[in-house]
Amino acid sequence: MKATTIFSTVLRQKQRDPLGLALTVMTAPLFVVLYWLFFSDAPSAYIVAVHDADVDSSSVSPMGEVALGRSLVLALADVTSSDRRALFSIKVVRDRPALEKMLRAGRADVGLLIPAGFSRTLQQEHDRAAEIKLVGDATRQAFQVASTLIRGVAETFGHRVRGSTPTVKATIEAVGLSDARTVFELYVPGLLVFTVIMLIFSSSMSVVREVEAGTLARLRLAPVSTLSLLAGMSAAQFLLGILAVALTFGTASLVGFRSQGSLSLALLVAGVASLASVGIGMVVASLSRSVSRAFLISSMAMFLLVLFSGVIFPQPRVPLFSVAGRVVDLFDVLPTTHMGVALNKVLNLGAGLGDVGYELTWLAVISVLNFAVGGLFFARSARPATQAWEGMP
Amino acid sequence: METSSSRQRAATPAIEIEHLTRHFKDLVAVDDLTLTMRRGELLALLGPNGAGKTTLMRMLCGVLRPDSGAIRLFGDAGRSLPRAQRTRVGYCPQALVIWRDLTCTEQLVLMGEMFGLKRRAAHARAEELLRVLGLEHKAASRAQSLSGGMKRRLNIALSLVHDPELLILDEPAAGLDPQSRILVRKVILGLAHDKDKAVLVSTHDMDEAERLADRVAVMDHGRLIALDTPAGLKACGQACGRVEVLLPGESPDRIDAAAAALDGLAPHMVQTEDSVVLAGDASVAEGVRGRLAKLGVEPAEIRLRQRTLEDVFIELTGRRLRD
Repeated sequence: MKATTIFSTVLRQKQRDPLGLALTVMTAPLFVVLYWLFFSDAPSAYIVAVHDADVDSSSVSPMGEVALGRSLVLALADVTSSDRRALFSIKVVRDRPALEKMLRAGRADVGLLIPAGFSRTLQQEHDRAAEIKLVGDATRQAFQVASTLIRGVAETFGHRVRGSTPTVKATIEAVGLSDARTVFELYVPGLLVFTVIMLIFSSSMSVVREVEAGTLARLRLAPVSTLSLLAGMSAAQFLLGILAVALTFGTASLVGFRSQGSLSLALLVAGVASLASVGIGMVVASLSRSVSRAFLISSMAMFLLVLFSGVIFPQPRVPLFSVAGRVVDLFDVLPTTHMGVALNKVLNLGAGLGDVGYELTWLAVISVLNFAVGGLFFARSARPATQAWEGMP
Repeated sequence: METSSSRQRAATPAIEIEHLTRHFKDLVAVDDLTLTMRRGELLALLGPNGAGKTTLMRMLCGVLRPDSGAIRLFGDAGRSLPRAQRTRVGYCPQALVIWRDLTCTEQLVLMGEMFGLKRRAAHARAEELLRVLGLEHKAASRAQSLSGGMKRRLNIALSLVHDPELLILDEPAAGLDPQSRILVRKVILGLAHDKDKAVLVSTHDMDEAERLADRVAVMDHGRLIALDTPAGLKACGQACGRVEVLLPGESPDRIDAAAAALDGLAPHMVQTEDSVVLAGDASVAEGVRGRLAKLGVEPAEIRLRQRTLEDVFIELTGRRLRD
């Protein structure tokens, strides 16, 4: 019976902490709703960047050939899923560099290269297959699925045109060195994202611990500015973040991880993202009256940063507007979105500084904003911390 | 030789508070309070829980802004304490506010540096304070490993690290064993009388207040209701004696009846759960015996003693329990 008493007492205490209770039981349902909102109507079409060199050779040749490359593209556009939604979204690009740029930027799932003479080979050279190339980031699941589907469509298309085998042969070409990566190596960028996210827990909980103990209030008695307090605390957290990232790299390298790009560039990306995490940690701290509350709110932030950044699950696309030809998406506000993309580019695709400039710029802007907001919240939370010393009045 | 600036410094009060008021929603925590304190003075602040002592102290050390009124610290006026002035004030909160994972020296050096001391000077100051407060053997120990009394002494040391001219101590001796209490008392007295600091101490311990303080201020419901030396507060002309009638084991009804029977026998009378205390001397004690005998109540003891600070405090603030 004592267990019953303790059981009811624990529940009563939980009931008296409504926010903590809500965070515990409502986080997963909330994310179900968010996923439903973002994914239920989201187009599931794979984006195919197409460069059709066959179009240039002849739309209709003197010998009566038709432009079959173009027909293949139209055939792809006509493919629908069982619920009659288009399976592929076609984006025609002018040349191969433009196609690769789209792929590297993650704005296309697969690139389709139709060579000059595709029509002629398919129509006239019956002893050999007409070739197409499927280009993409081999580390992405979307590329693997889309290229398999396109291969099937192309073969069916070739069979319909020629009526016999061989028809169309699709060769796979990986962007950078993405096809040379092991499964383990593909996971490392995601793990680094987690390392940086952990800073939210670390920074928020260490500030709240100081508030709970009253030591932040004690520091505030001295002639020390909020900026100094914020800078000192943040710098320590930032250093821990860099140390954690370096240790993760070191450990991964020891067990066989091979980076395709510069480690110092990856470290720079992680460093800038760490600043954003510390800023978020300060916001979390200001919303938390206790260390346990800081932990719960940090967990909520972690879910948001992981689930909607594309690091683990596919990222929902919620385009907001376009700037200089780039679509700005709702989830671009998450530092993990850009960190994940940039680290993948550097570590798996061997990208250089110029290739991740866009992501680094975003990260820097987000970090500055997060830090500014975190600082304001911190200044607010540092003041009432004096109340932790004794009850009112 | 005394210079004009040192004379001026000595003449400037450490604290001048004028018509200070602070509300928390509908509650008036400090109500139109006026008080002056000089350097080298040790002022004990007494009051029941919720009287406004802590609010007053927090306004003095700059962590809380008054709603109205003025505070002048060392002649500088302002509604809140400017950052530069904070180095002149040391505040020791009632709760233990220490860094559990830092050693005694580390946290004293940290606070020293926050108050602008160079690292070497902060180390020297930390060493000195640890010695003065009997913690030198724990200099390298983490605060979490200290006993309750040691933590409290460290709490006090942290408020002294920058050698403030005004020291505000919120119940510094609460929870200390007698040995530590004597040590802390000696340190506090030394600060006021040997080092010319102004020391404001809040306490619920009347004996402590009487032993320590040059003057005692009594607050209740946010107001200053008495301010004098301990002797001055206890002074009461002919009625300085107290007749304490001990009635242990009697029912509350019988004690109420006894108090009713004794009413009017003396100018002051305080009834407790098991006693009645009257102002007066041996003649009043005789009167008590006679009236109680008529009522059929036999006290366990009738004790004659001098009026204490606690008697004064209860007379001023009443016996009703506070929140």
